[in-house]
Amino acid sequence: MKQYIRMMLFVIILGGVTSGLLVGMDLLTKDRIALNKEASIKSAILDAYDISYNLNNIHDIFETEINVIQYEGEDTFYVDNRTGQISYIFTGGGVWGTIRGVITFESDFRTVVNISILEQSETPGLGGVVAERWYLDTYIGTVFDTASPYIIIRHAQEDNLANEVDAITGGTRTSEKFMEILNTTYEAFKAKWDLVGV
Amino acid sequence: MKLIRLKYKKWFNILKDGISVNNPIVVTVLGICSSLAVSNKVENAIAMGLGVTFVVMASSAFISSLRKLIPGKLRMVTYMVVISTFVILVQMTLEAYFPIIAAQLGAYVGLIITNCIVMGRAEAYAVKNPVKYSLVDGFAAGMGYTFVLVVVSIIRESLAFGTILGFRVMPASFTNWSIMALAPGGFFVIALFIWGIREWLKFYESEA
Repeated sequence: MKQYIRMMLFVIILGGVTSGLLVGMDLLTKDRIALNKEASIKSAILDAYDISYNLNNIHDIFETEINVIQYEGEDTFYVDNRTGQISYIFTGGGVWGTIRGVITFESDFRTVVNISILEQSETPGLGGVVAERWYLDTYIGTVFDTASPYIIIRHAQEDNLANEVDAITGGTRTSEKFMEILNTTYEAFKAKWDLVGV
Repeated sequence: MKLIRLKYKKWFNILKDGISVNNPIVVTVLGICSSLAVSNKVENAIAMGLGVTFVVMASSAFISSLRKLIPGKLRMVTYMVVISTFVILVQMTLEAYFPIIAAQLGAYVGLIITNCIVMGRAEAYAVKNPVKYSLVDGFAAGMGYTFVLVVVSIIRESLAFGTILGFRVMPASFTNWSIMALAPGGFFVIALFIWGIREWLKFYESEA
């Protein structure tokens, strides 16, 4: 009997001490972790606009350079105060996991200035090329169409029209998924931009 | 202290054995899962190795200090609770103060809880030995793990990406061996490495 009491007591004390340690650590770091998550989104936007910053002044620079417009508190447009370029974060399902990135348009909301990928889990070397700089640079200057499909990612011999881009060799399914993500998110964000945009 | 006396010191022998004869990955083949996944880039390997070393040292020391109080039937439960606490502390620290490394290591910091090396050293050594030797043993196991991880990741990163720690080492005409960035490449390199080290140590499976 005594040994069972001893075991119970031990478990309770051990649980109490470790929980206390964890709660204390959580209180210490919670704010910093939330700030870091914000900073990662902000650094993606600032990189897309080619604005230099460092980890100390990132929040201040973001305040002054970027105008954040929120539609119904969820969909957020990041507008550069100097150039009028507009960015939003797109998310969608790739072949293996979520593809999340930032796309930046000129103030006409049709010409692409930059695309960057924040997270993806595609096959390295094949579909994973979707996150590589040289591939995303082929999207610069593409003009989204006014009707669906807005952008076409294709394998073909002939030259591309203004709204067409080459697909990834060996990454056919990723290219198809990426096209679907870009088109769906563009349609949704364009409708909201027409309502709230400047 | 005179250098010649060093090889009779107990802590030196624990340290030496932990890296060579008792190397967790090569000899006891523990902790393979994370070593396959994290060893594709050298900086990830270094960060993971340091994380595991800290967790093994801290949990071994903690368990060793409690070894007289732990009831016999609750050993495994205690190890789990203590190890999980330390890993969550490490994870919170990384996310708060080193967010870039935390993003690159991703889920693998949390997986240190399942890393057999930590539990293995706790059960095999920490619960039977005083605190200072448990600390040295934990450090040795962690360093053995880090050593293997860094060597494997040097091979894999230079073949798969052509760089080491971001510095280009392969000539520009080299085609990347993408398989080295994926799991099969990890299996091949670690298997060859285990074979090589065991041959060098003359450590063969005994015919029973």
